[in-house]
Amino acid sequence: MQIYLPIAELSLNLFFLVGIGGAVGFLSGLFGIGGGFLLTPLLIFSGIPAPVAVASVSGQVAAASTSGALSYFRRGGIDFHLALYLVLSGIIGAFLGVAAFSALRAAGHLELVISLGYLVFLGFIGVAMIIESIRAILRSRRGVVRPAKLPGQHNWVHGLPLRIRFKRSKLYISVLPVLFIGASIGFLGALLGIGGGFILVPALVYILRVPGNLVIGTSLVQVIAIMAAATILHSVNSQSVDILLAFCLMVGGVIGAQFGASAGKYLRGEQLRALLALLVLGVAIRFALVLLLEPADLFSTAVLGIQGLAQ
Amino acid sequence: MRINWMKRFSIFFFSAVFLLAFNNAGFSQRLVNALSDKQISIDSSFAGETISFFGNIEPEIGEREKVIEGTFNIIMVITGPSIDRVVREKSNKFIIWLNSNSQVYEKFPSYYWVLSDASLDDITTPEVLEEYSLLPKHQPQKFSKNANKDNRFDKELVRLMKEEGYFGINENAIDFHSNSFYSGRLELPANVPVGSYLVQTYLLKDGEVISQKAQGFFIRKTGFERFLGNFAKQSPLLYGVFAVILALFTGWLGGVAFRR
Repeated sequence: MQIYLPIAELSLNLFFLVGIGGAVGFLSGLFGIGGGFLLTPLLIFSGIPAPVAVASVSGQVAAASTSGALSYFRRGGIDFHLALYLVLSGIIGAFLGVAAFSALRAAGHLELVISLGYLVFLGFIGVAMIIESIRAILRSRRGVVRPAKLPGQHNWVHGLPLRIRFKRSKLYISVLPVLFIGASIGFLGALLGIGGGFILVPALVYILRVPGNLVIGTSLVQVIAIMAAATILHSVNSQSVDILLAFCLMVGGVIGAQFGASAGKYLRGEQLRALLALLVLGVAIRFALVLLLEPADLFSTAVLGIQGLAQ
Repeated sequence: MRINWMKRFSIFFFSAVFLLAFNNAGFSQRLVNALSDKQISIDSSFAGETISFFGNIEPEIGEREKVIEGTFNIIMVITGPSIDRVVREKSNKFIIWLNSNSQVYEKFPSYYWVLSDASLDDITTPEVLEEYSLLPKHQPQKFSKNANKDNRFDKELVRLMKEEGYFGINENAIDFHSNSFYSGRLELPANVPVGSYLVQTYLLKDGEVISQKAQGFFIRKTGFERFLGNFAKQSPLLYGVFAVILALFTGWLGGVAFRR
């Protein structure tokens, strides 16, 4: 059944859209990620213009993160004080990200930067994750139990000026790394159409040493805020948010996430992380090929100006 | 298909939409045209549409001859709304492929199809096609605004537009049903640009254009699609806020419905 997307200005199969929303939702439930980094490339590869894909996925990620954040909220798994700093800096980052998005699109380099951005970040995160999970699997084979790093251990980042006490997380750390992390994630999220959870969670764990029970909930709050801000900014700036597209993806995503979450119970943590790492690397390699191989067609055409989103 | 055609054939006869003839002294024939749809509506189930044209070749008003004679050919040119377009070329720099050279075409047609009743080579000469800029390949020269323009881009632009289905030539799209009565059909793809279209009909005899006539039709979004498109353009802030509320509500609903 074909559905006409009024902003993308093309027809796609409704079941295809709900289907990829559901498939990515399944993975996001399985791994506890937003799934933007998978969904945006999938949409671009299936013919949706990159600006529309990036902007519409922002809405989908906000929806997918909301149900997760609610369940963490009920369990008290959110540090709202920390989240406030992340959100405020994140929104500033999102402003810059959307401005960069518009400037790059006008210059004709948006696709390049999106591809490069995905390649660099997914490649880096994917390699780090795969090394970490192989080590974890080897350790568990050998039966060695290593104590998890305790929160409260400090590193040099914590000693920077402007220290603030985050009671819920039992942290007394400089606010500068918090703001820097928040703004970076906001910038990348708005530019690349990703929630940034898969960058934010490691940053909160390894740099800020946020306790494990608060990490996911707090990062989800930041992801929702950034993606909501990005959705509004993209709407105002380039009118590239396709509500119909986003809604189809949301419906699939919200349902798929439930099945993913139940499937996740049957897999061990380190196996899950290894699988996710492979997935992340796969997407990175796909983008590397686009950049490194000689394109089949050296020429491309696009419409200039706001009306040109369909191209 | 035949039955459908017959229906449209009869629509032609009963339709009173006879537009003013192209009036030019010296032409002894004129064209009378009608269109199956003046307005094409794009709604949520739009997956392309076929539009039909009908026309009759008649003696010019005031001519003594009441019957037209000879063999005629028809060429129809359908031009879509114009828009600024850029063509970019990728080249290999620092081992990655990126856009380097580009050329801008201002007010370039977003859609350009040429329909005819026989092979264009048989109907007329390259000189006539050139004179009237009839072919897709003649379009870029009219719209390129670069001072130091590069002809390679013209060719590539036409090729890209053809691959997308926006430009093309169909030499079997027009049928003559008698000496003077003809019909044509144009298949609009699902990704057809929205806006006003011009149908320019050329009447040819012995390879020369002896009469021409212009007509328009309109493609627009309707209903919910139109509402959303306008909403996004006219009040973008509200649209964005609405998108966020929809996202939060859907997420909340999902969370409540499944209670993870």
